[in-house]
Amino acid sequence: MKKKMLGAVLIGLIGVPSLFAQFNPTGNTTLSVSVGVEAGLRVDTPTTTLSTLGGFSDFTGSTDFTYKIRTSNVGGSGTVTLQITSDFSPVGGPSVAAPLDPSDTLAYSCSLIAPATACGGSQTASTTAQTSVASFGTNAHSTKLGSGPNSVSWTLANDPQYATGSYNATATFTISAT
Amino acid sequence: METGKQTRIRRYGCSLIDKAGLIALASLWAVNGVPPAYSDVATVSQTLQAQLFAVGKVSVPSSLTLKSTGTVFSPYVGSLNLRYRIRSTPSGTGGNITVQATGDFSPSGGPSISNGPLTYTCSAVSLGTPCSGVNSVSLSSQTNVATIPPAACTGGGAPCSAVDPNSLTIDFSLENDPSFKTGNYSAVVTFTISST
Repeated sequence: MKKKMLGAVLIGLIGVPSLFAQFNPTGNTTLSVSVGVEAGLRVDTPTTTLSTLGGFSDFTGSTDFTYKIRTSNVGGSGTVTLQITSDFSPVGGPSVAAPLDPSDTLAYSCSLIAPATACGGSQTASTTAQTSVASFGTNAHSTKLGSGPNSVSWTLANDPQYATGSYNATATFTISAT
Repeated sequence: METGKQTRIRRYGCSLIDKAGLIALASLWAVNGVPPAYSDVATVSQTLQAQLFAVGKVSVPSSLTLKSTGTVFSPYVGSLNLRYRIRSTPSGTGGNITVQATGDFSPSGGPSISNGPLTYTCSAVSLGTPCSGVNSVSLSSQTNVATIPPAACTGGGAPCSAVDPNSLTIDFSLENDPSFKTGNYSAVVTFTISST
């Protein structure tokens, strides 16, 4: 019985294919790669200052960014969104989540280069939901170095009720691809 | 007439007495180096001559998967262990190991070696000198992977290498360009070893 088992083990070992080929003057290796969907962006304006021309005109400013994207060539798509992840502080000034007046919104418009399709018209930023900046279709490809500059132009209501001072909020951009 | 014990022993071909005799005979032969049955000794001389030529052989895995390192659009990388055995003559120029792409990535729409995105570095050579810096894999020419000095040989210890087979590591890096269409792509690279 032991001899039979030993024989079976030996036959089994001989039958295991080696990870390496035999030694020869030349050897071939097949390099395989699976290219999948990917997306990333870089915000080129780390700090965007919103300024007013006076006379209670709105505060305005723009944020530039560059994106890289590859969507699937079968049924793929992509999006760029933004969300106010940290509301204006300190209190007493503008607020996205709890404005002093319902009309005191933080709005934005989008300007993007192909293959992105920019958001249409004026969008209202939110602290509770991601809102659209751009969309991509099937088989969309940015350039190797990234496609840009793209920009979001901000408009913040200038309410006389705001206390004077400096206020900061954080907007987070997110890009995704399928 | 045989006893039951003798019958059992003979089932295996010969008796214990026969076996003991044969073992003793073999032992004497083994110890003395000559059959014990002969009393005279003859000495025969023969010259054995072997002419060893320079030779080299490689062994590589049949496939290697290049994978992204995780960050967005980071290169696809993979590490390959190449094993080789070589003998180079003292009067020769040594040997070398090269690599060449014998087929571009297919299908089309993805990476292409002709555009130069596939590079490699060499390290951990157990015999010889690895290629230096970052090198590009070419479709049209062989590029250096390692250089073997003259009078080199694999295995057995000094003056040959201590290990058998020798080995080296080749780290491939493939550019991850957003313009590549999604899908699976493959290309064949051929390693060649030569020795003089």
